[in-house]
Amino acid sequence: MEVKIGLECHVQLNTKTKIFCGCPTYASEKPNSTVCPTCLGMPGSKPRLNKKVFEYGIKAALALKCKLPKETFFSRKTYFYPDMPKNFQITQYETPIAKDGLIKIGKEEKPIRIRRINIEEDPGKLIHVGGDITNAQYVLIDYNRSGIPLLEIVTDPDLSSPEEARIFLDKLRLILEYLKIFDVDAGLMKCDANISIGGGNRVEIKNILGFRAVEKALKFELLRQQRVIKTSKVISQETRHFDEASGVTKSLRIKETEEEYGYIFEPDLPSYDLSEENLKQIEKQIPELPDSRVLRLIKQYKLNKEIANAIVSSDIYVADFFEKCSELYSNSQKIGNWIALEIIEQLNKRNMKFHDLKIKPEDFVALAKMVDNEEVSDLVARRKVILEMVETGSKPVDIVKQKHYMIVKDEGKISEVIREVIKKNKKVVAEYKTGKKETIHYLVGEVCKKVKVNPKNVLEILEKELA
Amino acid sequence: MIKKFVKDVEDGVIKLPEFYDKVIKKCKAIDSKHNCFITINEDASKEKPKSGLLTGVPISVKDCICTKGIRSTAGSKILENYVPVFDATVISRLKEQGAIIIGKTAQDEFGFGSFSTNCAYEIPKNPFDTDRSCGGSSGGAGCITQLADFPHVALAESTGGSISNPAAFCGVYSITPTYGIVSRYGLIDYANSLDKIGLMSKNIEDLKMVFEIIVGKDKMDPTTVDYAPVKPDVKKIGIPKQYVKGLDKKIEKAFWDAIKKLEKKGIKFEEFDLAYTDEALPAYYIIAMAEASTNLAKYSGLRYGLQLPLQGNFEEYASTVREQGFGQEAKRRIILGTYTRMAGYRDQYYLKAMKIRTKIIDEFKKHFKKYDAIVSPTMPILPPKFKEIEKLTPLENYQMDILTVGPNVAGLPHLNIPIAESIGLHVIGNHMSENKLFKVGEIYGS
Repeated sequence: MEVKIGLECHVQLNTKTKIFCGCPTYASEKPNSTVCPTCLGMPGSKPRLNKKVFEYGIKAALALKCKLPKETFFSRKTYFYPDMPKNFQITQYETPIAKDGLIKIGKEEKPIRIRRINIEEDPGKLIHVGGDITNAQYVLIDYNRSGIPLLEIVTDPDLSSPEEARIFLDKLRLILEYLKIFDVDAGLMKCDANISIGGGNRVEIKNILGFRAVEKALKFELLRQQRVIKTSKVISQETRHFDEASGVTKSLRIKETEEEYGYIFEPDLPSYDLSEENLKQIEKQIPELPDSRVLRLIKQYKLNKEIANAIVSSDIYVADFFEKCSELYSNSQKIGNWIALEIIEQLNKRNMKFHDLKIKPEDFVALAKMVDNEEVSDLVARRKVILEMVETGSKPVDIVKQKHYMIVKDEGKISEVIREVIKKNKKVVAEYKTGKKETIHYLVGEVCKKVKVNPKNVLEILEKELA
Repeated sequence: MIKKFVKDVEDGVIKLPEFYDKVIKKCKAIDSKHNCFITINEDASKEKPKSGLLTGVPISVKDCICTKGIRSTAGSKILENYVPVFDATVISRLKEQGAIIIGKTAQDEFGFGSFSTNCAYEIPKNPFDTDRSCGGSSGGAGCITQLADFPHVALAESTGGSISNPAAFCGVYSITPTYGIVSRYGLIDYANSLDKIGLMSKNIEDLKMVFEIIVGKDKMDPTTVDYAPVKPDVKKIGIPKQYVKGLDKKIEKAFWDAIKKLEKKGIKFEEFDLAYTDEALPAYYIIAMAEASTNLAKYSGLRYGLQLPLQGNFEEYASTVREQGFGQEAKRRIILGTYTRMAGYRDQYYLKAMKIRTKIIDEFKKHFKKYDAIVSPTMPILPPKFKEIEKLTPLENYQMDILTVGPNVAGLPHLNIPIAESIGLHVIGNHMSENKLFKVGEIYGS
């Protein structure tokens, strides 16, 4: 049955100050310490727009190929909730900053339509004490988060699996990272995910925290809905909460109608001009984006498409690392392969980010050169040395020395080992001599186990010895 | 008047501590009879004002304007104990010039009313007759301005006529400025797209002087612009036919007498048809209530204002606080305002009212090409007795604003000139043409 998933992503923008006041946005450990009358919603306080937020929103809109209106303004979305200082949120309704955009995802470059992007304020943070949202004893409120700028990005229901949702979010995160408007480490991303199967009722999973949890929540929800359908029951249109610890979604409320927010224009803020001249200024500041970078890497470094994709889609620092290495070393394809096949694999295995690694471009290049000079084998370099460089940040020369990975070039020593192997494997040698030529590879392997050598050299010497 | 007082203070002829001991005593005496204050500043005589254009000048402040360290309730029980942590921009600007706050004046709760009777505290009584209303919603401001026998200017606020109305009933001058030239930062909101802070005074000279101090762009209120004054030339004034029908006989006579007086001084008058006068009232109330219903959402007993023992969940607790903290008119406006912006009704009410507002502005603008100002009586009736007010239905109550809502919806500046006891001449100008209005006031008084 057809699965339809749409996402509403709320991304914290990395401006220095909040969206409607001068309070700092850094994460203060002391609750309610980075607040003022405006972000506390005190009577008489007024919002004033942080122009950076506006600029960041436009950057995102242009990067996601959206249409921008000539003029944009804010609206009040009214609903009562304890994390909302004013019990209304300043957001955008009639004229979001952007509409009708696009992100291409995956190998097939499947287009996912962006319905709208708007800027808005984050509410405070609720701390549920003695339970979760469904059963806490009481709730504390920290308003430090109140007024952190958010970019809300809403997709059409174009995603057809939880995996696709993850791929989409990874791509979105990457674009925001390239635009330098989102802090991948400190910035929060919250998602509301809508999912329906076989044209049935839509279920909304609210407030899923973090990029990875979205796939988990959707996987669970998909299974749950499939089970409900198997028992011939109907999926009810409802809002659910994802409990990260247990990995399940729980019903919050049944939705009979669409929520009622009673939008009005925000009368404390003027409308903002999005003239072409303004847009051009901002467009100039948009750096090369992931899709263009992939194309450039293929062209400039003769990488194959898959390797280029892997390098770019992983993390901005990975691609930067690749290019820095390529400046120091001409065999870019080798560097590319190593990064794509070894480094990225390590990152994924350990659930780490590239800049957590201690590896330096000059060391990585030094290792590549050692392989070229046959000081260490390609296999050992990739499987052993890189691993250690990643973990310790040590120089490849030191690692190779310490761990005795150095290839032995002394033919006398190699011949000694070869003779030993021939002695111990008389049966195999006999087989070889009767014509089973492929058994020589077994002998090569046995030699390589005992001494770090270039297998090619071993083969040559062995063939001579056995002739 | 203020100028001479400030000179006397600067010259040491007037000693502020003694002066303020007397002023506060007088305020208490007036208040005991007329209830014009919600809070009197007992510490006024201890204030050490800065030296400036207003050194030591007493000002009263409508209670919806935040004053640091002085309780600001906006006339509501839900803010009974609320002491702001910051000054409104108008207050900082006046303090910067040396003004001293004598107290916070009585008003309808959040400005919701035309007679100051929708108040959680004592109802202010008319300076000429204590059985009658001061008007509203800035009733206390009008009352103290009339009764103060010391130099004084009142800061008031208007959404649909709340400055002109009590100024007329209490017989004082008032200016409601062009929307956006006086910062609303620190004003406890009624309807943000309509709220304007203005002034009352017993003479035009003081009004003008303090007006020039409070105007101008403020970075804390992004809807503000700088005041760009026009030449104070007044040659021709228009009288909307729709504004001079169905008036109280006394008012009608006083109005036409005032016109005659101005004609004698060389101003030409002409009657004309002003369109959309019937639509202005509903458009005003829809916009005002829609915005008010969102502004009042913040009062939920969590961080400030009325707090009750914690019981039930958030919604139950907030509902109880709001049930006990808001008066009847506030509840009515929350319900009506919420209704007009609900999905399904939003198009026919809220959005339509917004469109009509644009048409009203265009209509006024059209006539200002021809006239330097537009005049009418300020109120269609004389101050009613409290007993009469009790009998009014909400709709009859709202109709009292018929002459003041037009310029308020259009954000146009308007001046009240007292022309007889409790009767005012309303002079309405184009945006930024306050100078012309003051000129009419000066010509009338000369």
